[in-house]
Amino acid sequence: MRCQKVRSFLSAYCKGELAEKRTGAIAAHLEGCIRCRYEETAYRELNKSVGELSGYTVSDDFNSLLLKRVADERFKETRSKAYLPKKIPVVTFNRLAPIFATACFVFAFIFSGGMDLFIDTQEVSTYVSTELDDSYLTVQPEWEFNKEVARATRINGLVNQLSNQSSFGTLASSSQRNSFRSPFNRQYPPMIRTYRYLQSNSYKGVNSSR
Amino acid sequence: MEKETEKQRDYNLIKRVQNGDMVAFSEIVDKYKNRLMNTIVRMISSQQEAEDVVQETFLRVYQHRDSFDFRHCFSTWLYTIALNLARNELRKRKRFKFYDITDMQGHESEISVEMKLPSNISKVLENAIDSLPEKYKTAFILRDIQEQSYEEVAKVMNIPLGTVKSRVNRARALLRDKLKPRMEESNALSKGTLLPVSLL
Repeated sequence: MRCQKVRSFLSAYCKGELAEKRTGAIAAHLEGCIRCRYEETAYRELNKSVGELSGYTVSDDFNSLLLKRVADERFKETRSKAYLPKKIPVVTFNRLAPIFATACFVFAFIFSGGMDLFIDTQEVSTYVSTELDDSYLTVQPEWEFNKEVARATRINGLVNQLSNQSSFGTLASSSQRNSFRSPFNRQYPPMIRTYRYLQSNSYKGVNSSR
Repeated sequence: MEKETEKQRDYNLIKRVQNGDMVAFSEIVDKYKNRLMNTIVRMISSQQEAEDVVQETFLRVYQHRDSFDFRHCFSTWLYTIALNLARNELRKRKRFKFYDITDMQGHESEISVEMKLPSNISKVLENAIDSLPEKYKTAFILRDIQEQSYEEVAKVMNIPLGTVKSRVNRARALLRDKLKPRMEESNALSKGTLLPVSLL
């Protein structure tokens, strides 16, 4: 072995950290190399000095100070356990994802008109999609006009009666209540409401029942 | 074998601490306080601050006792906490420079003379260790002063095993170079006794 290589292993050699084979090779080199032996002596002196280094110790009140701090810590833990829930619930993606997906689906369903499946669309379309019939505004014979006025007066009376009642309590029979699907609950101006009521089957039904 | 029983004893102690046994915690403190003190004092070169760091280390151990991983060695965990706190302290010191009030009272010359001409070789060695770069110093202290295995040092410092070996080797070489003149002075390495006349 060359001196340079031997010197790179010398510190580990002096500590006995090398493998047996390498230790033998270095020992053989040291026997014949006085300069490397000089280096080896320096390392051995260093190891000896390190071994003789005085140890540091903690102060006498170290334990009491530490235990006081630990006692404070224990008190804090106990207090937090007493007043706070044991574990703060962790909101993870796995928990949130299905909720979020369901919410998205519901919103998409509502806004895409899926709710029409559950609403009586036929009734709605009767009142909404038909065009306004303005034939009653045209000039008509007087007797017909008076007849219409009388009819409208009667209807208005009925409208007032209905609008004064929050429910259909006065319509006694359940068959009448079912057949009477009033458009007055809908958001129309009073005149149109009256007109639509005249047009509707419900009115006819009520009228015929009278 | 002895290390294994030591490890097992530490595991038992930390398990007892996890169950709220303060006697076990005191045993851990008594077992490791001086070892940690020896390491930390040499790292940050101030006994008072080192004591604070050691105290903080044990407090952290208590606070995080439930998060101890039983796959690892307890002493490794403890030294890792202590070294991290010591590094934080050194970083803080770099940010804020503190001056001792005694320095302003005319003791500068006394201190500097002591640093230049220490009374014995141990003092020279302490100063030499103190002057090492931090990475070499830590590796040297853990390996040669605390006598931990290379593997443990690698785990504590979180660096590869080969790096630990090279750092320790480098630290020893630097210390040897720094101590050489002093050794020659104290006649431990007298050239006349070792080298033949032809080489002088």
